[in-house]
Amino acid sequence: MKKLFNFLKNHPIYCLIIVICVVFLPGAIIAKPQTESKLIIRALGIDKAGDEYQVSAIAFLPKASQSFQENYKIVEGKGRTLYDAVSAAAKETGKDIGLAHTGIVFVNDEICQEGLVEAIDFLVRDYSLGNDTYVVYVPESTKELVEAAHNLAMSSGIHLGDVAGYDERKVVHGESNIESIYDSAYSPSKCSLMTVMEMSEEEGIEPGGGQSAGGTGEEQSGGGGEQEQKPQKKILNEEKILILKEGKKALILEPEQTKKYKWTKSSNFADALTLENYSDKNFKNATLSLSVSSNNVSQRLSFKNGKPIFTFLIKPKLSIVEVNQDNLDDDIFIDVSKFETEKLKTTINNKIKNEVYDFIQTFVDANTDINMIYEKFNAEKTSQFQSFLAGLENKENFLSEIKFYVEVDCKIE
Amino acid sequence: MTKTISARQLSLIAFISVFSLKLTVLPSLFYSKVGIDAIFSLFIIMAFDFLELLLIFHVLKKNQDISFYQFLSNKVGKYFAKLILLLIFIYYFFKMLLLCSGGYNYASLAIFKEAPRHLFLFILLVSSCSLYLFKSRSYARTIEFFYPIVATMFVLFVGIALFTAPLQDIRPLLTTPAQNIFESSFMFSVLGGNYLFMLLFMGKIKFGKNPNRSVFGHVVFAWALLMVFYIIDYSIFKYTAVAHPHAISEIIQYLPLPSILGNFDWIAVSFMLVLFVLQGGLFIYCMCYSLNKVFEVKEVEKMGAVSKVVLVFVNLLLLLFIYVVFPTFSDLRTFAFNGLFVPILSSVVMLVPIICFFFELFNSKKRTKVAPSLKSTEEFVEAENQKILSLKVRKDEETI
Amino acid sequence: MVFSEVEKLKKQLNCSMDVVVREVSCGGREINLIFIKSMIDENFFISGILSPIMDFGSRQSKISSGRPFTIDNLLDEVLKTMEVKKISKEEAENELASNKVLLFLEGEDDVLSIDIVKFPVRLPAEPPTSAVLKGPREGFVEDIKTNISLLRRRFSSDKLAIKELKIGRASQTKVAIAYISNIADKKLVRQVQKRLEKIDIDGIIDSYYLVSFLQNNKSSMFKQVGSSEKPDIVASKLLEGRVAILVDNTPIVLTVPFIYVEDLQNSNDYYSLSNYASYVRVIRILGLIFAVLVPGTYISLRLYHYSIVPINFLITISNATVAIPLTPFLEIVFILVLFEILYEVSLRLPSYLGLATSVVGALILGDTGVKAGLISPPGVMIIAISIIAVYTIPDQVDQINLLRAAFIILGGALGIFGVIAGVIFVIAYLNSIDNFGAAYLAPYSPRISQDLKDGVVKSNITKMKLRPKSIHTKNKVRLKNDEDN
Repeated sequence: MKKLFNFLKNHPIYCLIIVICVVFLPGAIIAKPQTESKLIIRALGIDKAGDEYQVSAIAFLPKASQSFQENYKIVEGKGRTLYDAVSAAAKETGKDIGLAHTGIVFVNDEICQEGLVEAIDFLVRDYSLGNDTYVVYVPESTKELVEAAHNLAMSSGIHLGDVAGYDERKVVHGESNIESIYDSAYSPSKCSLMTVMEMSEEEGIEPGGGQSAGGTGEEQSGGGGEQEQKPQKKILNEEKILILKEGKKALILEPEQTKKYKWTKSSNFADALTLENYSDKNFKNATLSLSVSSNNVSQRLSFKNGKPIFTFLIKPKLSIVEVNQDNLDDDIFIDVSKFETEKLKTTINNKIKNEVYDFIQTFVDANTDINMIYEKFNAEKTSQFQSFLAGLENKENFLSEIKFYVEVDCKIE
Repeated sequence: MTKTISARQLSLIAFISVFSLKLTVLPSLFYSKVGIDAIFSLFIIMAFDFLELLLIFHVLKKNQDISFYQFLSNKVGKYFAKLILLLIFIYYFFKMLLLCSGGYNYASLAIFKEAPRHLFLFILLVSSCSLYLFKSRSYARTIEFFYPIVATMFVLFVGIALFTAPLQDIRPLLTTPAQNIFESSFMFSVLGGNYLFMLLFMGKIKFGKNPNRSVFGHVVFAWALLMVFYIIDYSIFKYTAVAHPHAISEIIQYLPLPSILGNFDWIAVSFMLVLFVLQGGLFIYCMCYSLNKVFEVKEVEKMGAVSKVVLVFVNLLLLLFIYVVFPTFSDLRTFAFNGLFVPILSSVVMLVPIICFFFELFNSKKRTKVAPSLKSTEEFVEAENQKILSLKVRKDEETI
Repeated sequence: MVFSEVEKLKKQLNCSMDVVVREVSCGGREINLIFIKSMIDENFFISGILSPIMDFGSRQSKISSGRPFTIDNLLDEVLKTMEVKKISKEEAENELASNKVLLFLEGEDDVLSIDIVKFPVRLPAEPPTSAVLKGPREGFVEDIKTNISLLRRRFSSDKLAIKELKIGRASQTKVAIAYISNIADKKLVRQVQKRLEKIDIDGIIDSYYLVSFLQNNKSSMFKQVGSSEKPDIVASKLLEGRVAILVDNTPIVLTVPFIYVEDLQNSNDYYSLSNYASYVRVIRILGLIFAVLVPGTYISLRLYHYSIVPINFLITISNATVAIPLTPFLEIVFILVLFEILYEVSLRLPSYLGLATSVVGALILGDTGVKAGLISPPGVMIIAISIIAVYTIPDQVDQINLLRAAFIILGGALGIFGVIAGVIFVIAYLNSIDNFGAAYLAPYSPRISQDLKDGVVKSNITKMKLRPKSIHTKNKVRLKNDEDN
């Protein structure tokens, strides 16, 4: 014993090894992998009915296989709070909640009416859920959409998370994630944006039978049989935007309005502009489709007689990608640079201007400061803006007191 | 004295010492006090630290062959020197406490959700103590080894956040009263004082050709990165920064990687864990060095035993405070950042370099005032010999 | 007639059967030759010693009034051997034990010691762990003289210094210290010599016996003494200021001081494109990381950090491991032990059985085990990658295997933080190794900019003008400026 003690005294590293092996290693030997104790949720749908939250989640459950095979199951739970509901859903499978790989959260109309920020408080506090998790508004039941998403993933491998990611980048420019919504709700503008997905009987992508690729899909076979009897609703993603004010639903932008909104945002993503019945020296009653390769938007802020003036400076870069015209001349295919005429530029500029003015009217009428006008004035012209606000009777309605101008200078490539 | 650390290694230790909790919980804590003007609070701490660095560096260069304890003993006597070292010990004790508690707070949410606290503490304390036990040369070389990785990672994170995260305009600035800004700097002063450790390395540093460039260059680089990090953090989480106590992991979550690569935040977590261990090693070194000097004995063998006892005592004291006195991080946070004890202690300790500088200045003036000696050569030689004897150079500083 | 001294000598060598005494009569005087038969060149004995003595004897007997011959006559005029010296009778035992032939002349006090040692030695062949595509293919052998000659060939100047020692009370093993006199630090040479001279052991069988005596951290698992089987590698190390230690009966030559980056380098790197060498060195580093860290990290991710694993990997690994009865830690340990058993078996089995064992092992591990559901494909894959990657740095196999086991325990017990702390601990430990004044992890820690030209990234030889700064040397200039360019 004494020899052992002396040995350990002279070689303290062995003490360390003994401590690790005695204290921590037994736990490691018997520990099961986390994938067996955690319910890995890929998508979460939250419905609220009265005082109760109802949660439907697409959960990944491992299935013995030598290849890559996604096996999802829908789990549901109810609870007084969102955390209770999610825990109840996880308990169904005898596991703990695992939100680390949750890519998308669907919320229904009632939640947005009553207050989204309060509802998703648990999700914001849960660190394992990434800041960039997409939050999507569903006008009706999220449960229906979650089921459809599940069937779509199992039948074709398309994940709605990827679709939401597309919208996130190209429609709302990074503002429909959980952090942006939260941050915007606490900003002076108090406006947040969310993308919208819904179920439709006419348009959209068909979810499919819900069978797993390469598998028998026994769990879904009953559902598949029932679905054969009535027409399956489709998942529709139309580039609609929900605007929240103070976390509550304020306005829904239809696809046409979304297009107008996009003019007010800088982007490098391709978009489209159509000119109908356009005529000039090159075209005659042609329908031109132009691709917007990039849009550079800045603003000019000024004050006149104590009133703020906000000017959008929009500089899009476009290129003609399609010409629909009867009796096309041959030379219309040659040397595209010839098409850039002053008239064409003016027409495009005016079209964009009108659309933007239309959009401005929409958000001013709805009193939703989507473009963060307040922050921009407050950042650049703090004292003047604060004096302006102080002079208003109703500070909430400041948008209607601001003069908006739009200047467009397009470039055709 | 054995020169075990080069000026470059010293500058890299200074670089590493700037970070850790400043990248995790401090942005949110600062924000809760003064909002976005926290950037100015941080700048004040930085500026004060930089001034201290100038003074510390001057003192170090003038006293390249004696230890800090010897320097203090010569100036203020043995007992006051021990008192100062005791204060330094308490100061670094609180820094280590914050590191352990804050680090666990970060790690438990980032990757260690179900792990017990003793697991994290065991790893942190053992690895920090082993860095101390391997002595200063090994520690300095280890820092030098990890520096390129740490610096590259940090620049990468800042770059990723800059190009992928939704950044907002952080203006308007200076909306908080100046008093609040200064008060906030004072309350968080314990997270400053990043270069005090250099005094404890006095006598071990080998100053090469151009040490100023290396030290000040790395320090400025570190602070520049930190400022950019804070600006980016507040730009991303403009209104909710207070709800993000894990800033470094969260700013890089917007990188649109394909699902095959997953989140990038595991790199941030690994980076932070490396920083925790490296900083922990530095704090343990500073604590043990100070306390060893407080309880110094003449016999070398006994001193070896004393140093082991001091190490065990330091660890036990840390565990006592973590488990009993401040059982949660919020208790410690309240005490450290809302109370007065820690800020006052930090302020007092930060006066030490200023005092040392004035001692050094006074000493050099005194030397120049003395007229060229009219003594005989023998008397002059005898006086010089007395001076050398009084310096008490120890043969093996590394055993302590 | 056998002289009494000769009888005594034979008894001192335990009357071994290969100690032979040859009596010769020469010019009326008796000569006794005593030697160890198994250690001499028999043909040379006859042609260089016996025959000349007999011829001389017959000439002497024909001369009627010849003066009696002395031992000096034999030394100067008769014996046709290269190395002959006159010794006293007290030295005779040591010389006989050193495999010399001793010649006793009747009536003379002095003895002649003749060196015609010959024993079986293999030809210098390419060592198995240092194969090159281009470059010399010679390797050291078990004979120290041959090894010295292989080194000498590369230094046709007066700068190569070789000092000989004998270590081992029973074995009296010859040990040679080699260095370049105008490059190596004298302090280093003295230090090495002093350490070797202090050794008081019964026998040295292999150079590895000396390693423990040379290193400062004796119980450390990390190498502190370099080794090589190739003369070109040792020669280049000597040119960098190192000291080489050659030991008789072993082809492994030791070099000090040792820095870690040496094992990342291979002689191939210096005989091919420097860009390619840099690329391959990076692969070796990756191999080292895979070998040491991947199994431990895999276990920690599966047990504690599922959130870090990308979803696609998580799906594949979960599906593959869901039905495995063993926990992840036990599974990895089990696979590792199986691989290690297979490796040990393949080392010891004769080659004609090795093939069958390999097939059985591959079938058991690769196919049947997985199909039976005892082990998972990801686990087999991880351990297989780790084991193969070990051989990117063959000189560090022992250390890497031990480190791998340590990191598996750390990863399983303490998670990813344990792995990270383990890495820092190992790096700090390596930095603390006292290594004849050279930093173990040079040129990265401490960073020596000049030495980085031959670190992980290798520069062209024309750019390496100075010797490595990490090793103390007298003369730093390697390459003088080429004025024509």
